[in-house]
Amino acid sequence: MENKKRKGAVIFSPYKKGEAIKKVVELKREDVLFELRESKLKGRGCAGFPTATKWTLVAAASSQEKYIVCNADEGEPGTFKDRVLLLEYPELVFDGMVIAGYTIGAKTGILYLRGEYEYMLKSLEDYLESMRKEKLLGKNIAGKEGFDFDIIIRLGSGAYVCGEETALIESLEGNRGEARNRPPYPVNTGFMGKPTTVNNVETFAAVSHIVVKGGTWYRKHGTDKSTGSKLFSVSGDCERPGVYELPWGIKVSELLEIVGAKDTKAVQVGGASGICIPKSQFDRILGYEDAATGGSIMIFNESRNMLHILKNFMEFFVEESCGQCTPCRIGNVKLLEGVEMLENGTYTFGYMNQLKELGKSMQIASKCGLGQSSPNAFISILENFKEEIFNGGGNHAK
Amino acid sequence: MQNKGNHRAPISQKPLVIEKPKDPSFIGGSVSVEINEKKVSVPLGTTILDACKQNGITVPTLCHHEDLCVAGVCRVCVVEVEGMRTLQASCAFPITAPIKIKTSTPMVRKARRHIIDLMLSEHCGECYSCFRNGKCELQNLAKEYGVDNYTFGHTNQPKYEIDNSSYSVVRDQNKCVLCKRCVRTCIDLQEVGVLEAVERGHNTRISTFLDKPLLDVICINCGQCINRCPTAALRANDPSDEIWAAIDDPKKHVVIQTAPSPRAAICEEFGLEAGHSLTKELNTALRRIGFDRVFDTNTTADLTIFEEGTELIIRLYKALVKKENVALPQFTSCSPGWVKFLEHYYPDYVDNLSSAKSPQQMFGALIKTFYAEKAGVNPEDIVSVAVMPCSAKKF
Ligand SMILES: Cc1cc2nc3c(=O)[nH]c(=O)nc-3n(C[C@H](O)[C@H](O)[C@H](O)COP(=O)(O)O)c2cc1C
Ligand code: SF4
Ligand code: SF4
Ligand code: SF4
Ligand code: FES
Repeated sequence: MENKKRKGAVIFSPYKKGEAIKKVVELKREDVLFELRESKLKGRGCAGFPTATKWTLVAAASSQEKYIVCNADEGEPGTFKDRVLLLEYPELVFDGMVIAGYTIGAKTGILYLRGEYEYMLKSLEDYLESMRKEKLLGKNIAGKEGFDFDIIIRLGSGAYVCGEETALIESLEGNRGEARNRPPYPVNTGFMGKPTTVNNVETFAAVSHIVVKGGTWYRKHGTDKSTGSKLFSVSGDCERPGVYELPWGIKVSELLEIVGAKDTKAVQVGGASGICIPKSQFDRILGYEDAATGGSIMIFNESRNMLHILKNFMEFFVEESCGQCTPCRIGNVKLLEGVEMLENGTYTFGYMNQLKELGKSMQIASKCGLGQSSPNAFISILENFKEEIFNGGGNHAK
Repeated sequence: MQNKGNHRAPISQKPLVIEKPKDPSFIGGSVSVEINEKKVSVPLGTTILDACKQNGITVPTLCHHEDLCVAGVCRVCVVEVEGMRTLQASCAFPITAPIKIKTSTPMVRKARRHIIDLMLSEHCGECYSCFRNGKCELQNLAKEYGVDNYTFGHTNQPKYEIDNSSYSVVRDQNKCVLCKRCVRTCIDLQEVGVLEAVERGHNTRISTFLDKPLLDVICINCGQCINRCPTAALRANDPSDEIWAAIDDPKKHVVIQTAPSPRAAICEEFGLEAGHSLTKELNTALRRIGFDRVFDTNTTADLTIFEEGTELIIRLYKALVKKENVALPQFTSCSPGWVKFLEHYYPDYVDNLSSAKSPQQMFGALIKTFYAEKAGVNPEDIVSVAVMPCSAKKF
């Protein structure tokens, strides 16, 4: 079981089950937060919020009842790295959650598992049971008097928006999966109105390594603004798709080299809600300072039609919008209609510009990250592939 | 944010929990903010919208309603908050730190126009053929923001069937902007919970349990949702055509009774100060319209009081003197909405309801019996109409 074939500098570096938990119970809570601050770890869910700050806020909240939520909804098109972590490295994820519980003072952790991952449920439950047997969960964890923490697993039911942390919490509470008004944030009023930290699977995995090896060690990887490494889910036109651990700051072209992509025309970084990078910009780097991503990298070669790709993304958003706020509910439909106009040649340049402006309003006026990021692909593909699109990107030569 | 005692709304719509000192004059009890470069101080937790209102600055709203918990869904009220990447919904943003707000920058105005335009693109039909014409919040917004050319298209094709099954409420989803005011009214103020959003994305709509017609669900016909709907999506059932037909029919003897509160309420329609009673003017107008007689519901209100009073005395007598088991306290039965609410939600208390008819019902009965005899009219030829303050009276 310990014979893992994946290799990587940080996440996939050697780690023994419970290692971090046994270490953390010897530390003071402030020391854990200090190491996290040192590491400059940012959330791996896509928003990139500094994890130390989030945890400090929850740790400082006066409530007796607090919650840890692990966001394993993994709904962004083209990401599958959380699946790999949960299947092959559950110790990293669950140990990370226990560490969070210790640091923040929570007694309950909830793993919000994507509905489609139901097949993992049994093995994950078994794994939690084995942790309980080894005193890594339950009462007086790792011999630490008074440190009680347990983890439960809840299944989502396939809505992309439920990956958004406040919609996720609504869903956990049994309501419609709709984003909440923010502020106040979940760190103050989260699950059941109690302080809650919601973190991505990979964030927890990174925390386990940081506790064992230290924040300074972690910071040595990656760049100044994007420390550590990142798991990339690479798919599309390349010889070796899959999950890669690579340091932040790597150039798009370098990544393409590693995965064996040839004839590449465009790379969609960050899934449907991300941006589309054309060949001319392949020297851009992956990291929070330039092209950030929750992990999704989709590669398209010269044979692909950008308009079809865009249409696919827009259909996704029309389908997945929760429908509560106006810009996202109706705006995405208008953008999709625009793509269809481009396809069959019934557009005017004026109207396309209007739609781009609409996209910009959606980015700032939508209630949650879904609507705020749904026009990204529309805007970046229209801007970066003008030639192709307006010269008959559809089947229409014009 | 104010607590409106809404314990059935989902947390997302509840007033947000913010720890704050009780008295705003305590240290940390108020924050200073800058609105459009003007420095003001507001109690901690005040929404941006309220802060603006208190300082005479107008921010447009649509889904916000003073009586209801927050929604933050229409996004018309967005403003710029310095340092934040996105615009913020002022109705849903509690101020807890000194911030700088701008309520009318080019970016803000453009976003609002886009939002209004998007809503108009799906708002079926034209204003001139709509009963809310001139009194519609969406129309007012469009006018105020000069959104007048349907940039993103417009539809005249209804998507949904109109639900006019109910005695009281007509639902026309084709005019709905999904502000969810009706949803919040029904569950939060009325504690009934008939309406909720179903489906998602572009297919989102307001629906009832299993999509049943309103007549077949536990709606109590109170009409409170109509009062808060900003558009023509909800309206009271309008029987004018039938009434005109009766008036125009020479064989029919058409009488009308008026309750006190609509006699006062109607003054607002004519621009008078609220609370001004127009009893005599209304009577004259009704006669000129062609009603054969106009009655005052006050008469039977007195009768109802006699009836209910007698009933109460009898119940008390039975309970206290005869030591019998009777249902107490005695509840009034004057509101059909309340009666239906009790029947659905607290059937155990039905015995507590008075058995007396409501004033409106009593008058109806009197007209067909006592009055018919007095006036020498065949009761079958009498059409009895009532002007009442509440849509539940239609039930
Ligand atoms: C529409 C939408 C979908 C999201 N889906 C996910 C997801 O599947 N997994 C995830 O970890 N974060 C997702 N997020 C980000 C979460 O809201 C949240 O920022 C994240 O879980 C915080 O964890 P982190 O700080 O560890 O990144 C999504 C955000 C949005 C707006
Ligand atoms: S942006 Fe989209 S997904 Fe988010 S709250 Fe609005 S409608 Fe729902
Ligand atoms: S009439 Fe009253 S009970 Fe019926 S839907 Fe409207 S608010 Fe709810
Ligand atoms: S019916 Fe009226 S109140 Fe209800 S959501 Fe639609 S527009 Fe708003
Ligand atoms: S009025 Fe604030 S979002 Fe609708």
